[in-house]
Amino acid sequence: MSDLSLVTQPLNVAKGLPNAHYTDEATFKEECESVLFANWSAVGFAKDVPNEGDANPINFLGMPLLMVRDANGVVRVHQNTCRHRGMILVSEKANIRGTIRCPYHSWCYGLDGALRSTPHVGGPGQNTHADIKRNELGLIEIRSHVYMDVVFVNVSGKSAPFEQVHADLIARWAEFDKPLYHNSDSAFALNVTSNWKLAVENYCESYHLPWVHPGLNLVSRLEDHYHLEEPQKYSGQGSLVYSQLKGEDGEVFPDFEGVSDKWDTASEYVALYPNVLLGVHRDHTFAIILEPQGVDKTREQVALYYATPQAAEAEFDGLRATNATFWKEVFEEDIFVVEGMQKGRHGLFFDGGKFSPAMDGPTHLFHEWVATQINVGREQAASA
Amino acid sequence: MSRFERLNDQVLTAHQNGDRATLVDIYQMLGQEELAANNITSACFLLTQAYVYALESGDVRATEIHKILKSHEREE
Repeated sequence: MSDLSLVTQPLNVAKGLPNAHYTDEATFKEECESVLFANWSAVGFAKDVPNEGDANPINFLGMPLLMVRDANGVVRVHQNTCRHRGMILVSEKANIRGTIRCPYHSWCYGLDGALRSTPHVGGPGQNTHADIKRNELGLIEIRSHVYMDVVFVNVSGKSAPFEQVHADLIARWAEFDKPLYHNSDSAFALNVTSNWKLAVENYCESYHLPWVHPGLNLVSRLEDHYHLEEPQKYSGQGSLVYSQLKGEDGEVFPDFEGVSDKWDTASEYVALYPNVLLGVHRDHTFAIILEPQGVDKTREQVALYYATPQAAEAEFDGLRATNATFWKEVFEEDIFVVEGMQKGRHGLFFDGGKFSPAMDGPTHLFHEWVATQINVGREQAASA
Repeated sequence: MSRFERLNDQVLTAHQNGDRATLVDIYQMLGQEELAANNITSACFLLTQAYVYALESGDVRATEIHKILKSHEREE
């Protein structure tokens, strides 16, 4: 069991998480439970189930989930496992026009999870049995919440409601908490050979910008950035010099309706713990879901969103393509860093690292939060 | 080729093609025939097959089939 006592110390004396949190399978499993299942983790985008009946199977840390949009347009997440023999219900993305039918013995579930039929369960042609109580055998629904089009789940079911846990950020970014518009040309994925946390740690801070993103130096200098630090909630960075992308004829994306002057030249980038990276600008937002696929494998799913339906349509095809290319290049520039830190974590004598008291505050807050979650998990296990 | 061999081929083809409507057609027709012959268990087996595929595909015939199964105390 790793020693986390130095991780939760104040920034100027703290150490980062020990190597085991990036390289050790047993520690990865502990984090799955205490960090990712115990909190509100992102598993997908609502845009991926745009229509009623759309169903998208998701493997979240080995746990089979099924994200659906029900008949009322509500996004729900169920455990993708039949209550009968534990068969996987939906294996591929599909539109379900009626019920979810288990491919094994054809138990049928509504999109709301209700068990609708149990064919031949009482013998041939007899679909009822006194001991098969349908109202007790619906699909297991996993608590879920959609924010900024990201679908979050709390697998343990024990976290406080999402709106409560993330009330501060929801209030801070209320001006962007509006319908978002997406075009499928504005999504891409990056696979990195790195533990998922390293992508968070890199995203949180602006310290690396002059070196890893030299193209930003002239338009968005280090001194133009500020830290976002909300202990035990989120952390990140902001910029005071956001400049709207302009097309050849000077066209720009439309702004979010009613967005205040503060955002004329500001943008903010937040790691919403545990595994979502968000960015907001006057005219677009983005979300990056970090999907841990193993202790040293992560898939980064990126989606860009716009403020009006028009911005997601043909009129803005060119500008959207330029914007998507810009962000993809920025995020690709970070890959060698997170993969390099992953390799560096195999150095036996690396001690978690020494933080810059001036520049690494947001990253330290993430370490502190992870350590806190793990300590809570250990305390619960000890008292169980 | 007998009628049942032909229907069996149609069922297999419908399964291969994911053609739920045809499965409902065939199972419902055979179920109704068994019902007319008062072979209730066989009828309800076949109608259950039709019912499940109708439910799965959102086929409106699910409602009428459900009614029959329920009248024979085979469905809730």
